[in-house]
Amino acid sequence: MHNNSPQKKLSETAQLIFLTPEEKKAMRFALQRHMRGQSVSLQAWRVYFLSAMQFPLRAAAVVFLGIFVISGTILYRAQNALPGDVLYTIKIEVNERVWGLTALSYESQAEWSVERTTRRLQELEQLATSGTLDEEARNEITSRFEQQAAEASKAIVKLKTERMDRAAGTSSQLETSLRVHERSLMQVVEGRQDISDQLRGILETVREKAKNASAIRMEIEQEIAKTQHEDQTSENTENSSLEQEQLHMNDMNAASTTNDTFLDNR
Amino acid sequence: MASVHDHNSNEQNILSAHSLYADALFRHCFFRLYDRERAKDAVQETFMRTWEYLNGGNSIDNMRAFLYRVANNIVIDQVRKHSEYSLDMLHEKGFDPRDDGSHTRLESVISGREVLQILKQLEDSYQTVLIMRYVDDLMPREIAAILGETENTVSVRIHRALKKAQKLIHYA
Repeated sequence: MHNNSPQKKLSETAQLIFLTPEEKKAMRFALQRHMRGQSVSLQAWRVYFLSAMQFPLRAAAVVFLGIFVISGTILYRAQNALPGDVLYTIKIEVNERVWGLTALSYESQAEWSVERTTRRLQELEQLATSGTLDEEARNEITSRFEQQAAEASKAIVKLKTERMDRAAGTSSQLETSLRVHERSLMQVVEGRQDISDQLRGILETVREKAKNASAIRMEIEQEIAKTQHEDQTSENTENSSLEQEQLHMNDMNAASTTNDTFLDNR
Repeated sequence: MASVHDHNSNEQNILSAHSLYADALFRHCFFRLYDRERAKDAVQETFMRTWEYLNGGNSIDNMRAFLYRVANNIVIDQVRKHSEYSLDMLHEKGFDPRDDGSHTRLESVISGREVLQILKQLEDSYQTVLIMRYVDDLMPREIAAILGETENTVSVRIHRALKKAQKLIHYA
Protein backbone atom coordinates (compact mmCIF):
# COMPACT_ATOMS: atom_id res chain seq x y z
CA MET A 1 0.00 0.00 0.00
CA HIS A 2 1.36 3.40 -1.00
CA ASN A 3 2.18 5.76 1.89
CA ASN A 4 0.00 8.45 0.44
CA SER A 5 -2.88 6.12 -0.47
CA PRO A 6 -6.36 7.15 0.67
CA GLN A 7 -6.93 3.82 2.38
CA LYS A 8 -3.80 4.26 4.49
CA LYS A 9 -4.78 7.82 5.35
CA LEU A 10 -8.28 6.70 6.30
CA SER A 11 -7.00 3.88 8.48
CA GLU A 12 -4.51 6.18 10.19
CA THR A 13 -7.18 8.82 10.81
CA ALA A 14 -9.54 6.17 12.14
CA GLN A 15 -6.97 5.37 14.82
CA LEU A 16 -7.42 8.89 16.15
CA ILE A 17 -11.13 8.48 16.67
CA PHE A 18 -12.21 6.50 19.70
CA LEU A 19 -14.36 6.77 22.78
CA THR A 20 -12.58 7.50 26.04
CA PRO A 21 -13.10 4.85 28.75
CA GLU A 22 -15.23 7.39 30.68
CA GLU A 23 -17.44 8.06 27.68
CA LYS A 24 -17.89 4.39 26.99
CA LYS A 25 -18.71 3.69 30.62
CA ALA A 26 -21.26 6.51 30.72
CA MET A 27 -22.89 5.30 27.51
CA ARG A 28 -23.06 1.73 28.80
CA PHE A 29 -24.60 2.92 32.05
CA ALA A 30 -27.24 4.99 30.23
CA LEU A 31 -28.05 2.04 27.98
CA GLN A 32 -28.34 -0.29 30.94
CA ARG A 33 -30.64 2.13 32.72
CA HIS A 34 -32.83 2.42 29.62
CA MET A 35 -33.10 -1.37 29.33
CA ARG A 36 -33.67 -1.92 33.05
CA GLY A 37 -36.46 0.67 33.01
CA GLN A 38 -38.36 -1.41 30.49
CA SER A 39 -37.61 -4.69 32.25
CA VAL A 40 -38.82 -3.31 35.56
CA SER A 41 -42.15 -2.27 34.07
CA LEU A 42 -42.57 -5.72 32.50
CA GLN A 43 -41.73 -7.47 35.75
CA ALA A 44 -44.14 -5.25 37.65
CA TRP A 45 -46.91 -6.23 35.24
CA ARG A 46 -46.24 -9.93 35.70
CA VAL A 47 -45.94 -9.65 39.45
CA TYR A 48 -49.25 -7.84 39.64
CA PHE A 49 -51.17 -10.33 37.56
CA LEU A 50 -49.54 -13.60 38.56
CA SER A 51 -48.13 -13.27 42.05
CA ALA A 52 -50.06 -10.54 43.82
CA MET A 53 -53.39 -11.89 42.63
CA GLN A 54 -54.60 -14.26 45.31
CA PHE A 55 -56.68 -17.34 44.59
CA PRO A 56 -60.15 -15.89 45.38
CA LEU A 57 -59.42 -12.90 43.18
CA ARG A 58 -58.15 -15.13 40.36
CA ALA A 59 -61.20 -17.38 40.68
CA ALA A 60 -63.50 -14.37 40.57
CA ALA A 61 -61.70 -13.09 37.49
CA VAL A 62 -62.09 -16.46 35.76
CA VAL A 63 -65.79 -16.65 36.65
CA PHE A 64 -66.35 -13.10 35.49
CA LEU A 65 -64.55 -13.81 32.23
CA GLY A 66 -66.61 -16.99 31.75
CA ILE A 67 -69.88 -15.15 32.33
CA PHE A 68 -68.79 -12.41 29.97
CA VAL A 69 -67.92 -14.88 27.20
CA ILE A 70 -71.08 -16.99 27.62
CA SER A 71 -73.45 -14.02 27.77
CA GLY A 72 -71.70 -12.43 24.80
CA THR A 73 -72.19 -15.62 22.78
CA ILE A 74 -75.87 -15.86 23.77
CA LEU A 75 -76.54 -12.24 22.88
CA TYR A 76 -74.78 -12.66 19.56
CA ARG A 77 -76.71 -15.82 18.67
CA ALA A 78 -80.00 -14.26 19.80
CA GLN A 79 -79.53 -11.57 17.18
CA ASN A 80 -80.78 -13.91 14.44
CA ALA A 81 -83.49 -15.66 16.48
CA LEU A 82 -87.04 -15.92 15.13
CA PRO A 83 -90.38 -16.18 17.00
CA GLY A 84 -90.63 -19.66 18.47
CA ASP A 85 -86.87 -19.87 19.12
CA VAL A 86 -85.65 -20.05 22.72
CA LEU A 87 -83.46 -16.99 22.21
CA TYR A 88 -86.16 -14.81 20.63
CA THR A 89 -87.22 -13.40 24.01
CA ILE A 90 -83.60 -12.39 24.66
CA LYS A 91 -83.46 -10.71 21.26
CA ILE A 92 -86.59 -8.66 22.01
CA GLU A 93 -86.24 -8.07 25.74
CA VAL A 94 -82.47 -7.66 26.05
CA ASN A 95 -80.76 -6.88 22.73
CA GLU A 96 -83.41 -4.56 21.36
CA ARG A 97 -84.13 -2.88 24.68
CA VAL A 98 -80.44 -2.16 25.23
CA TRP A 99 -80.11 -0.93 21.68
CA GLY A 100 -83.14 1.32 22.25
CA LEU A 101 -81.55 2.74 25.41
CA THR A 102 -78.43 3.73 23.48
CA ALA A 103 -80.53 5.81 21.08
CA LEU A 104 -80.46 9.12 22.93
CA SER A 105 -81.36 11.77 20.37
CA TYR A 106 -84.78 12.08 18.72
CA GLU A 107 -83.12 11.29 15.42
CA SER A 108 -81.50 8.03 16.54
CA GLN A 109 -84.71 7.04 18.37
CA ALA A 110 -86.72 7.51 15.17
CA GLU A 111 -84.17 5.61 13.09
CA TRP A 112 -84.07 2.76 15.58
CA SER A 113 -87.88 2.48 15.72
CA VAL A 114 -88.00 2.25 11.92
CA GLU A 115 -85.29 -0.43 11.98
CA ARG A 116 -87.14 -2.41 14.66
CA THR A 117 -90.42 -2.28 12.74
CA THR A 118 -88.66 -3.53 9.62
CA ARG A 119 -87.12 -6.43 11.59
CA ARG A 120 -90.59 -7.75 12.50
CA LEU A 121 -91.62 -7.88 8.87
CA GLN A 122 -88.34 -9.62 7.95
CA GLU A 123 -89.02 -12.24 10.63
CA LEU A 124 -92.51 -12.76 9.30
CA GLU A 125 -91.22 -13.24 5.76
CA GLN A 126 -88.51 -15.67 6.90
CA LEU A 127 -91.01 -17.81 8.79
CA ALA A 128 -93.56 -17.69 5.97
CA THR A 129 -91.09 -18.68 3.26
CA SER A 130 -89.59 -21.48 5.37
CA GLY A 131 -93.08 -22.83 6.11
CA THR A 132 -92.71 -22.56 9.89
CA LEU A 133 -95.18 -19.75 10.48
CA ASP A 134 -97.77 -20.91 12.98
CA GLU A 135 -100.65 -18.99 14.48
CA GLU A 136 -98.86 -18.17 17.70
CA ALA A 137 -95.83 -16.72 15.89
CA ARG A 138 -98.05 -14.78 13.49
CA ASN A 139 -100.05 -13.25 16.34
CA GLU A 140 -96.91 -12.36 18.23
CA ILE A 141 -95.32 -10.68 15.21
CA THR A 142 -98.53 -8.88 14.23
CA SER A 143 -99.01 -7.51 17.70
CA ARG A 144 -95.39 -6.33 17.98
CA PHE A 145 -95.43 -4.90 14.47
CA GLU A 146 -98.54 -2.82 15.14
CA GLN A 147 -97.16 -1.52 18.38
CA GLN A 148 -93.70 -0.75 16.97
CA ALA A 149 -95.00 0.86 13.78
CA ALA A 150 -97.12 3.17 15.94
CA GLU A 151 -94.04 3.97 18.06
CA ALA A 152 -92.05 4.69 14.89
CA SER A 153 -94.70 7.19 13.73
CA LYS A 154 -94.67 8.86 17.14
CA ALA A 155 -90.85 9.06 17.10
CA ILE A 156 -90.94 10.69 13.66
CA VAL A 157 -93.50 13.26 14.80
CA LYS A 158 -91.29 13.99 17.81
CA LEU A 159 -88.25 14.37 15.56
CA LYS A 160 -90.20 16.82 13.41
CA THR A 161 -90.17 19.33 16.26
CA GLU A 162 -86.37 19.23 16.30
CA ARG A 163 -85.19 18.49 12.74
CA MET A 164 -87.84 18.80 10.07
CA ASP A 165 -85.53 17.63 7.25
CA ARG A 166 -84.39 14.55 9.17
CA ALA A 167 -87.98 13.70 10.08
CA ALA A 168 -88.89 13.84 6.37
CA GLY A 169 -86.01 11.49 5.56
CA THR A 170 -86.89 9.01 8.31
CA SER A 171 -90.59 8.97 7.47
CA SER A 172 -89.70 8.37 3.83
CA GLN A 173 -87.45 5.51 4.96
CA LEU A 174 -90.30 3.97 6.98
CA GLU A 175 -92.74 4.32 4.10
CA THR A 176 -90.30 2.77 1.59
CA SER A 177 -89.50 -0.11 3.92
CA LEU A 178 -93.20 -0.84 4.51
CA ARG A 179 -93.98 -0.70 0.78
CA VAL A 180 -91.09 -3.06 -0.02
CA HIS A 181 -92.21 -5.58 2.60
CA GLU A 182 -95.81 -5.21 1.49
CA ARG A 183 -94.72 -6.35 -2.00
CA SER A 184 -92.66 -9.21 -0.58
CA LEU A 185 -95.60 -10.39 1.51
CA MET A 186 -97.89 -10.23 -1.51
CA GLN A 187 -95.49 -12.50 -3.36
CA VAL A 188 -95.50 -14.92 -0.44
CA VAL A 189 -99.32 -14.82 -0.33
CA GLU A 190 -99.44 -15.61 -4.06
CA GLY A 191 -96.83 -18.36 -3.80
CA ARG A 192 -98.07 -20.07 -0.64
CA GLN A 193 -101.79 -20.74 -0.95
CA ASP A 194 -101.72 -22.78 2.27
CA ILE A 195 -100.89 -19.80 4.47
CA SER A 196 -102.26 -17.01 2.32
CA ASP A 197 -105.31 -16.59 4.58
CA GLN A 198 -103.05 -16.22 7.60
CA LEU A 199 -101.02 -13.52 5.89
CA ARG A 200 -103.80 -11.46 4.39
CA GLY A 201 -104.67 -9.93 7.75
CA ILE A 202 -101.16 -8.73 8.46
CA LEU A 203 -100.74 -7.61 4.83
CA GLU A 204 -103.71 -5.27 5.35
CA THR A 205 -102.07 -3.95 8.51
CA VAL A 206 -98.81 -3.30 6.64
CA ARG A 207 -100.71 -1.42 3.90
CA GLU A 208 -102.49 0.67 6.49
CA LYS A 209 -99.23 1.51 8.26
CA ALA A 210 -97.60 2.37 4.93
CA LYS A 211 -100.47 4.78 4.20
CA ASN A 212 -100.04 6.37 7.63
CA ALA A 213 -96.29 6.75 7.03
CA SER A 214 -97.02 8.28 3.64
CA ALA A 215 -99.46 10.75 5.21
CA ILE A 216 -96.87 11.75 7.83
CA ARG A 217 -94.22 12.22 5.15
CA MET A 218 -96.51 14.39 3.01
CA GLU A 219 -97.49 16.46 6.02
CA ILE A 220 -93.83 17.06 6.88
CA GLU A 221 -92.97 17.93 3.28
CA GLN A 222 -95.84 20.43 3.16
CA GLU A 223 -94.62 22.02 6.36
CA ILE A 224 -91.10 22.28 4.94
CA ALA A 225 -92.45 23.88 1.75
CA LYS A 226 -94.56 26.30 3.80
CA THR A 227 -91.60 27.29 5.97
CA GLN A 228 -89.46 27.87 2.90
CA HIS A 229 -92.19 30.03 1.35
CA GLU A 230 -92.50 32.09 4.54
CA ASP A 231 -88.76 32.57 4.69
CA GLN A 232 -88.73 33.74 1.08
CA THR A 233 -91.60 36.19 1.67
CA SER A 234 -89.97 37.56 4.77
CA GLU A 235 -86.68 37.99 2.90
CA ASN A 236 -88.44 39.82 0.05
CA THR A 237 -90.19 42.15 2.51
CA GLU A 238 -86.92 42.86 4.22
CA ASN A 239 -85.20 43.61 0.90
CA SER A 240 -88.03 45.87 -0.12
CA SER A 241 -87.86 47.88 3.12
CA LEU A 242 -84.11 48.13 2.76
CA GLU A 243 -84.50 49.50 -0.76
CA GLN A 244 -87.03 52.09 0.47
CA GLU A 245 -84.72 53.10 3.23
CA GLN A 246 -81.88 53.48 0.73
CA LEU A 247 -84.05 55.67 -1.51
CA HIS A 248 -84.98 57.81 1.46
CA MET A 249 -81.31 58.21 2.38
CA ASN A 250 -80.50 59.21 -1.20
CA ASP A 251 -83.25 61.90 -1.11
CA MET A 252 -81.88 63.22 2.19
CA ASN A 253 -78.36 63.41 0.78
CA ALA A 254 -79.58 65.25 -2.33
CA ALA A 255 -81.47 67.77 -0.18
CA SER A 256 -78.43 68.33 1.98
CA THR A 257 -76.22 68.94 -1.09
CA THR A 258 -78.74 71.50 -2.44
CA ASN A 259 -78.75 73.34 0.89
CA ASP A 260 -74.95 73.42 0.99
CA THR A 261 -74.78 74.83 -2.57
CA PHE A 262 -77.38 77.48 -1.68
CA LEU A 263 -75.43 78.55 1.41
CA ASP A 264 -72.15 78.65 -0.53
CA ASN A 265 -73.71 80.92 -3.15
CA ARG A 266 -74.95 83.21 -0.46
CA MET B 1 -44.36 -9.99 24.17
CA ALA B 2 -40.93 -11.03 25.39
CA SER B 3 -40.72 -12.77 28.76
CA VAL B 4 -38.61 -11.57 31.69
CA HIS B 5 -36.11 -14.29 30.86
CA ASP B 6 -35.86 -13.02 27.28
CA HIS B 7 -35.41 -9.47 28.57
CA ASN B 8 -32.44 -10.52 30.70
CA SER B 9 -30.91 -12.47 27.86
CA ASN B 10 -31.45 -9.58 25.42
CA GLU B 11 -29.90 -7.18 27.91
CA GLN B 12 -26.80 -9.35 28.15
CA ASN B 13 -26.55 -9.57 24.35
CA ILE B 14 -26.80 -5.83 23.98
CA LEU B 15 -24.22 -5.14 26.68
CA SER B 16 -21.74 -7.60 25.13
CA ALA B 17 -22.32 -6.02 21.73
CA HIS B 18 -21.73 -2.61 23.31
CA SER B 19 -18.37 -3.73 24.67
CA LEU B 20 -17.35 -5.15 21.30
CA TYR B 21 -18.66 -2.65 18.78
CA ALA B 22 -19.30 0.71 20.48
CA ASP B 23 -15.91 2.14 19.45
CA ALA B 24 -16.16 0.96 15.87
CA LEU B 25 -19.72 2.27 15.53
CA PHE B 26 -18.66 5.57 17.03
CA ARG B 27 -15.90 5.92 14.41
CA HIS B 28 -18.34 5.07 11.66
CA CYS B 29 -20.81 7.72 12.84
CA PHE B 30 -18.10 10.32 13.47
CA PHE B 31 -16.75 10.02 9.91
CA ARG B 32 -20.23 10.80 8.58
CA LEU B 33 -21.47 13.40 11.08
CA TYR B 34 -18.20 15.24 11.92
CA ASP B 35 -19.49 15.84 15.43
CA ARG B 36 -18.35 13.86 18.42
CA GLU B 37 -21.49 14.40 20.54
CA ARG B 38 -23.87 13.63 17.70
CA ALA B 39 -21.85 10.53 16.85
CA LYS B 40 -22.19 9.37 20.46
CA ASP B 41 -25.94 9.98 20.36
CA ALA B 42 -26.19 8.00 17.13
CA VAL B 43 -24.36 5.07 18.71
CA GLN B 44 -26.65 5.14 21.74
CA GLU B 45 -29.69 5.29 19.49
CA THR B 46 -28.35 2.32 17.54
CA PHE B 47 -28.13 0.14 20.64
CA MET B 48 -31.54 1.25 21.92
CA ARG B 49 -33.24 0.47 18.63
CA THR B 50 -31.54 -2.91 18.51
CA TRP B 51 -32.72 -3.62 22.05
CA GLU B 52 -36.28 -2.70 21.12
CA TYR B 53 -36.05 -4.90 18.04
CA LEU B 54 -34.97 -7.87 20.16
CA ASN B 55 -37.69 -7.16 22.69
CA GLY B 56 -40.27 -7.25 19.94
CA GLY B 57 -39.59 -11.00 19.82
CA ASN B 58 -37.21 -10.81 16.84
CA SER B 59 -33.85 -12.51 16.60
CA ILE B 60 -30.59 -11.27 15.10
CA ASP B 61 -28.23 -13.68 13.32
CA ASN B 62 -25.32 -11.34 12.75
CA MET B 63 -25.20 -8.70 15.47
CA ARG B 64 -22.30 -6.75 13.98
CA ALA B 65 -23.94 -6.42 10.55
CA PHE B 66 -27.28 -5.56 12.15
CA LEU B 67 -25.75 -2.80 14.30
CA TYR B 68 -24.00 -1.27 11.30
CA ARG B 69 -27.21 -1.34 9.30
CA VAL B 70 -29.11 0.44 12.08
CA ALA B 71 -26.28 2.94 12.62
CA ASN B 72 -26.08 3.63 8.91
CA ASN B 73 -29.82 4.35 8.74
CA ILE B 74 -29.62 6.66 11.75
CA VAL B 75 -26.70 8.55 10.22
CA ILE B 76 -28.50 8.90 6.87
CA ASP B 77 -31.58 10.29 8.70
CA GLN B 78 -29.41 12.72 10.66
CA VAL B 79 -27.57 13.92 7.57
CA ARG B 80 -30.87 14.46 5.77
CA LYS B 81 -32.41 16.30 8.72
CA HIS B 82 -29.36 18.44 9.46
CA SER B 83 -27.92 19.64 6.19
CA GLU B 84 -25.59 21.86 8.24
CA TYR B 85 -23.21 18.94 8.82
CA SER B 86 -20.15 20.13 7.03
CA LEU B 87 -16.45 20.53 7.25
CA ASP B 88 -17.01 24.18 8.22
CA MET B 89 -18.57 22.86 11.38
CA LEU B 90 -15.61 20.57 11.87
CA HIS B 91 -13.29 23.54 11.55
CA GLU B 92 -15.35 25.50 14.08
CA LYS B 93 -15.43 22.65 16.57
CA GLY B 94 -11.99 21.44 15.70
CA PHE B 95 -10.99 17.94 14.77
CA ASP B 96 -11.57 16.54 18.18
CA PRO B 97 -9.78 13.27 18.85
CA ARG B 98 -9.35 12.43 22.52
CA ASP B 99 -5.75 12.53 23.77
CA ASP B 100 -4.87 9.17 25.23
CA GLY B 101 -1.18 10.09 25.42
CA SER B 102 -0.06 7.81 22.60
CA HIS B 103 -2.01 8.41 19.41
CA THR B 104 -2.50 12.12 19.12
CA ARG B 105 0.18 14.05 17.39
CA LEU B 106 -0.16 17.39 15.63
CA GLU B 107 0.76 15.90 12.27
CA SER B 108 -1.84 13.20 12.65
CA VAL B 109 -4.53 15.74 13.50
CA ILE B 110 -3.66 17.81 10.44
CA SER B 111 -3.65 14.68 8.30
CA GLY B 112 -6.99 13.65 9.78
CA ARG B 113 -8.55 16.95 8.73
CA GLU B 114 -7.24 16.51 5.21
CA VAL B 115 -8.68 13.02 5.02
CA LEU B 116 -12.09 14.22 6.14
CA GLN B 117 -11.95 17.09 3.66
CA ILE B 118 -11.23 14.64 0.85
CA LEU B 119 -13.90 12.27 2.07
CA LYS B 120 -16.42 15.08 2.13
CA GLN B 121 -15.82 15.79 -1.54
CA LEU B 122 -16.87 12.27 -2.49
CA GLU B 123 -20.44 11.18 -3.22
CA ASP B 124 -22.35 9.72 -0.27
CA SER B 125 -22.24 6.19 -1.64
CA TYR B 126 -18.43 6.40 -2.05
CA GLN B 127 -18.00 7.85 1.45
CA THR B 128 -20.07 5.04 2.94
CA VAL B 129 -18.11 2.18 1.36
CA LEU B 130 -14.71 3.75 2.08
CA ILE B 131 -15.57 4.32 5.72
CA MET B 132 -16.95 0.83 6.08
CA ARG B 133 -13.95 -0.74 4.37
CA TYR B 134 -11.02 1.25 5.82
CA VAL B 135 -12.39 2.79 9.01
CA ASP B 136 -14.69 0.01 10.17
CA ASP B 137 -12.48 -2.66 8.61
CA LEU B 138 -15.42 -4.56 7.18
CA MET B 139 -14.98 -7.00 4.29
CA PRO B 140 -16.83 -6.27 1.01
CA ARG B 141 -19.06 -9.28 1.74
CA GLU B 142 -20.11 -7.73 5.08
CA ILE B 143 -20.59 -4.29 3.55
CA ALA B 144 -22.77 -5.86 0.86
CA ALA B 145 -24.90 -7.55 3.55
CA ILE B 146 -25.32 -4.29 5.45
CA LEU B 147 -26.18 -2.19 2.41
CA GLY B 148 -28.30 -4.88 0.80
CA GLU B 149 -26.21 -4.97 -2.37
CA THR B 150 -24.05 -7.55 -4.09
CA GLU B 151 -20.44 -8.09 -3.11
CA ASN B 152 -19.36 -7.33 -6.66
CA THR B 153 -21.16 -3.96 -6.68
CA VAL B 154 -19.52 -3.04 -3.38
CA SER B 155 -16.03 -4.04 -4.60
CA VAL B 156 -16.44 -1.98 -7.78
CA ARG B 157 -17.68 0.99 -5.78
CA ILE B 158 -14.74 0.79 -3.37
CA HIS B 159 -12.34 0.66 -6.31
CA ARG B 160 -13.94 3.71 -7.96
CA ALA B 161 -14.07 5.61 -4.68
CA LEU B 162 -10.36 4.96 -4.08
CA LYS B 163 -9.45 6.15 -7.57
CA LYS B 164 -11.42 9.34 -7.07
CA ALA B 165 -9.94 9.91 -3.61
CA GLN B 166 -6.45 9.32 -5.02
CA LYS B 167 -7.05 12.02 -7.63
CA LEU B 168 -8.26 14.45 -4.99
CA ILE B 169 -5.18 13.77 -2.85
CA HIS B 170 -3.01 14.35 -5.87
CA TYR B 171 -4.62 17.74 -6.59
CA ALA B 172 -4.63 18.77 -2.94
